[in-house]
Amino acid sequence: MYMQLDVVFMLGATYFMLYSTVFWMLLYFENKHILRHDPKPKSFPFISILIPAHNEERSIERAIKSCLGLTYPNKEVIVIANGCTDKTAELCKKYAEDGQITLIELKESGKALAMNAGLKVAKGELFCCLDADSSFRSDSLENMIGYFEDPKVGAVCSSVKVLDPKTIIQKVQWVEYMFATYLRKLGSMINVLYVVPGPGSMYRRDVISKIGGFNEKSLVEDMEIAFRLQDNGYTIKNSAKADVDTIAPLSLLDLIKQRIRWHAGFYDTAKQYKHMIFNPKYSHLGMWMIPSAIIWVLIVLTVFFKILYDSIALMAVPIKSLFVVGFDLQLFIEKLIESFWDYFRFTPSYVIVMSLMFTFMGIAVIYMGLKIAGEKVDLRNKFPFYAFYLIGYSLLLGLCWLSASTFILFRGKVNKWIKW
Amino acid sequence: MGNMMYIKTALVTTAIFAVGVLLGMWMGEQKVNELEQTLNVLKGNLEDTELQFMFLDTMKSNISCSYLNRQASQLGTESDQLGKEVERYEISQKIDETTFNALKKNYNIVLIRDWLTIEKIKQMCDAKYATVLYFYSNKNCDKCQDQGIVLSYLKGKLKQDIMIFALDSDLGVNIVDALKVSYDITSYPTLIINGEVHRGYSDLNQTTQILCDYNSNFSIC
Repeated sequence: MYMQLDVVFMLGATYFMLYSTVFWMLLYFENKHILRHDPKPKSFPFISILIPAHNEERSIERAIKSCLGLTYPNKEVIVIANGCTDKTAELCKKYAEDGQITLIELKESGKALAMNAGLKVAKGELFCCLDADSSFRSDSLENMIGYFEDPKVGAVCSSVKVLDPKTIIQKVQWVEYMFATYLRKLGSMINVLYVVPGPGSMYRRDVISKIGGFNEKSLVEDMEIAFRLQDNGYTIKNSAKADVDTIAPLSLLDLIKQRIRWHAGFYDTAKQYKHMIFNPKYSHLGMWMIPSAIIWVLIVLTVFFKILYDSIALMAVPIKSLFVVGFDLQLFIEKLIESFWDYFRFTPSYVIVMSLMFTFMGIAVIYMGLKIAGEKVDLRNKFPFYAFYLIGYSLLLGLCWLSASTFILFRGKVNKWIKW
Repeated sequence: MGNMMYIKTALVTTAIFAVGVLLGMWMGEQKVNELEQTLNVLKGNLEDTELQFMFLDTMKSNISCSYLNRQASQLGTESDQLGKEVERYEISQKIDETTFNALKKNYNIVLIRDWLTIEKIKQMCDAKYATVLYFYSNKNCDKCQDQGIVLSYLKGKLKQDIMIFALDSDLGVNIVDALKVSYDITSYPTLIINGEVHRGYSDLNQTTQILCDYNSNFSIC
């Protein structure tokens, strides 16, 4: 067998991916019985729900109504309309006039800015952030507050689900969010969460004030705050039963824009908190979670380039035949089939075995994610969701990371493009 | 959770990884075996045809020429397919080099015997199908890929009317070297079409012209 560099790399990467997958699976099996079990709250403190909204006329009312429909008794709702040029503020006014919400209007836009402004007037001992494109289910808050009995807990995040997926892109994300739920809940078990998602996360107010509020310069204030909380010795928990629905990007372009922001934000934040990487002081987060997240990015990018390179190489002979003998459909197709068949046939068998293994593990992970999220498998209706996810997701992910990396390299020029 | 989790994970991962790699290696070996078997079948067919040819030669009987031509054409098709197979295994570089080179030498020898037999049948039965001996090199030949495309295009058009024998000149097979000396082949690609040497790359028009000069009844003429 040829032991070339690419083979060594591939074996190493495979081992790492396998290790990472097995790690979470073992953690799942060890904690299976308590994953959908949240600590019982002893008290019901006052909670301020902050809804930062920037041109959200289409979804703001749903967000407000979901807050008003919460069964949790002690709460206030504060909408911070920031830099709005549409009817967002106008729509909120009637709720404000009825005294159901407090409305703050800011000329400038920015989510962290809006959150900080909201925090100034918030009365709650705890506060929630609810993105304006998201909505609570009626019992979401009750499931989260029990975690705050532990004084070390600085934030608790919810279980985010894609609201009413319609397009292929949304369906893929619906499954992806199940995978995220799986990782988030398991990550919560060993205190390694490094994002507190915008839809429906809850924070301890005095802690956030003490560590300086939200970072208005960060691309991903929800990730930056997670790193900062843990850098200051606080932990982040997750409730798998606190459901929050969110509108996922509809089109590929929207998704790529969103991911560029997330991924570029990840690069920035990891750089900013690089002292946490491989630092035993931060336990599993520093020694395992952040390093493995970085390695995953590198692997996804490499695999994406490999697939791209192979696809071009596969087309080389068929396309060349067009120039050598002129257009001959029969020959072209023959060469094309030959290329693809050979690619499949000559892919080393262990790669095929490993790919099959990862596919099965992927299916198992999705199943576990569904279990944690309390969703049914529902093959009859959701089969296309799973199929799209299994077939196209890794490529999609690669594309997103590639775009993000390109963005990092040329950020000055495209910065405007992703700000919306 | 302590560090036990990482050790446990390492044990499980290593076990799964080992099973995967071993299973993969075993499957890889099956592939080489398959190629070897195909080669053996071809050798068997060839020996069979050679025996028939000897029989025919001894009996001086002309009745079986159509049968013999059919045999020759089958032999041509089989060796062509096997040639493609060997070539593609070579490009893939996924088979162990020593095993592969042994296989390939063997294949080249079979191919030349095949060619000799078919040439004899052609003479004896006065058949008008074309035979092409194609010398290529993987080392210093810019145009070999193009030549290969031209030949597979012609094979696709002419089907049974053309038999192509592609010989790898880099292998150091004695009989290939002997042919190279006797036809004075020093550059690649070189084609021997119906016994005539054509040095350098022959594009589609040139090759078609050569074939049509030989037999104007070909469908491409």
